[in-house]
Amino acid sequence: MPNKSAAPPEAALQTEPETCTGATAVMRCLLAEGATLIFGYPGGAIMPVYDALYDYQHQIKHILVRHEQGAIHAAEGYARATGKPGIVLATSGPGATNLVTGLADALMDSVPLVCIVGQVHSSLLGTDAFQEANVMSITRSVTKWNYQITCPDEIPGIMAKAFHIAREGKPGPVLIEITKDAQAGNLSGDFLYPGGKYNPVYPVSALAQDQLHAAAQLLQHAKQPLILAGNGVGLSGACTELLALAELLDVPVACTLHGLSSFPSDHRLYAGMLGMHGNYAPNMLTNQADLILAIGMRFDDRVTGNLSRYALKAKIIHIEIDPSEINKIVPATIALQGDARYILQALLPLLHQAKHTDWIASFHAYNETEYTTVRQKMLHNPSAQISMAEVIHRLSHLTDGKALMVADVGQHQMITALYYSFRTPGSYLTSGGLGTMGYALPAAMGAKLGRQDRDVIAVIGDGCFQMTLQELATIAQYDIPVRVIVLDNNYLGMVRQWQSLFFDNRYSSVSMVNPDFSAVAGAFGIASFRVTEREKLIPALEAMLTARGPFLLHIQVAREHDVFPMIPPGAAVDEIRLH
Amino acid sequence: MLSFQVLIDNKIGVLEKIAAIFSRNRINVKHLHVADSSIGSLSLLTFSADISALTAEKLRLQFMRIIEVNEITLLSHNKTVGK
Repeated sequence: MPNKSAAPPEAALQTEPETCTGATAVMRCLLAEGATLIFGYPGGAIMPVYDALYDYQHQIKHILVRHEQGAIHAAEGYARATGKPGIVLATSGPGATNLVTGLADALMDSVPLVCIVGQVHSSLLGTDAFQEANVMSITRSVTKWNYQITCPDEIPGIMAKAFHIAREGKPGPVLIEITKDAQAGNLSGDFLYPGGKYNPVYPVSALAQDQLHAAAQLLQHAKQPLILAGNGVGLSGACTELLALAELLDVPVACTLHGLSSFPSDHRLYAGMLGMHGNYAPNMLTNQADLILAIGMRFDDRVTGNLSRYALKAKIIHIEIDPSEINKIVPATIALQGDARYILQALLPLLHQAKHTDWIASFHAYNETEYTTVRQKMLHNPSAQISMAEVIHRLSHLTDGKALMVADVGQHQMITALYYSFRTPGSYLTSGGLGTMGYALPAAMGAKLGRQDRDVIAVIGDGCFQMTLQELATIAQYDIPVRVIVLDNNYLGMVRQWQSLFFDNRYSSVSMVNPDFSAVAGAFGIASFRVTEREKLIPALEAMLTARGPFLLHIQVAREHDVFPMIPPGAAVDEIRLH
Repeated sequence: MLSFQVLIDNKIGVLEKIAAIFSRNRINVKHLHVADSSIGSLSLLTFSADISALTAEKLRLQFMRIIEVNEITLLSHNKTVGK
């Protein structure tokens, strides 16, 4: 074939305008945002973007998962471990619909994600074309924002807006759908990335000084104050300020599920976890507090129990970035809208030292009751069967409370929350709001890729594990050194516990006949070990913690242990049960 | 009967985002009107429904979360809330 291009390459550069396809523009947007890692799964309608990715593979690493749900949970784990948005690539139709659970999860738990999905050619929209689904309608309720791009020229502006919205204010998931013709077509002009020009989604007016001073007055003069630390403390990086404020005013700090690890669990002012499966003291004493300082939390029903009997004596100071969360569930005496760290920094100089010795002693008394009634039995259990609590307790000791724990959903999630003694912020990732079984394995994988300096340990129940265990193949392929503990009681443990307590022991569809998970891991090429006897537990945990690559520990635990304390559904916080 | 006015970006899909909030909260809309506003590319959406003041407040909070919503006015209370 004759060579038609007679002109030398330099001349071509001078005469031809720069051409940039929509797909290449997507890559250049990702680079402009500093992205180095994406999780995804290719398919027909996203192929131009994958083709462009081929040219950028040395700058942007792509992790090929085994299911799109694995990609989005991995991106969530990455985002929560690093504070940077997680990026997901998927195709149209089933590729996009498989993201829905992860989107809903990220929306509930304020996780910044940018998901880019393909769509059929714009001329085929609405024709029931192959792998066409109405993804805009499907994802509308589970995203912070979604947008369909049908023209390549829209890509830089919309991508910049997507990253801005995902990160800004209360973070959340954004989904951008790009039709195949918009990926393959050329931009009409040069590529220009308008990063950083967007206005805040929730503008924060300058902090009202009178409100700030009024809050300081209430805090200073409270007799029985209690701090509730939520997800927002970690998200805004306010852990140091929280510690300073608690110590200055001598105030107990209770954490929500997502607030865990934002205050050291071994601190004398740590009051424990709030809510349905939280600790005894903070739940009992919520109704004794005369002032509650709620920081970056949204008074979830799992935290408040029966609302009509919640925080009966307390005035409420609510620090919250999202104005739609203020006065949503619990009316605030004083609302301070904005970033938690910024507000705590503004509050601190207005406060001076206080002491609440008797009030703090009352927490210690309740802790003692919980210890003798519940914890002691779980930790020093004479039966031959290993309890979940003793596994987590041992693990906490062996890792000095410094591991990044990723828990799935159910009994093991609550046991990890209650028995791991967190000493480093940003160390407990779990699916809180949506309660997505199958979250932990892919999320741990993403967290480890984002934080290779940290020991990442996934704690997973036998039910959860079987929802996303295909990601073991991804872990093996990329040799991601996550540590996986499967706590196997051959039950959907939390559902069984509810059936036991509230449905008269009628165990309906909760028993599971499981494979040998260590053999399953072995088949994926992952080092593994199975523990059935107590004597093997510590050596096995030690082997896992010193393994160089990924490692799975399958631990057979007692079948019918219940998680206590527990606030029964519909009961008040101070009706929490110890047995 | 309470009425709202919502100033929205005139973009594809915004009406569906608003409608999703009605259905999520099991609200049957009595009246719905969308028209060009005189402000740039914004549209003015007006609706009324048989809801309590408490539900109206809940709706207002949920509308605030829609990126394309610019301003919400509860007509019966004549209270305008910018974002």
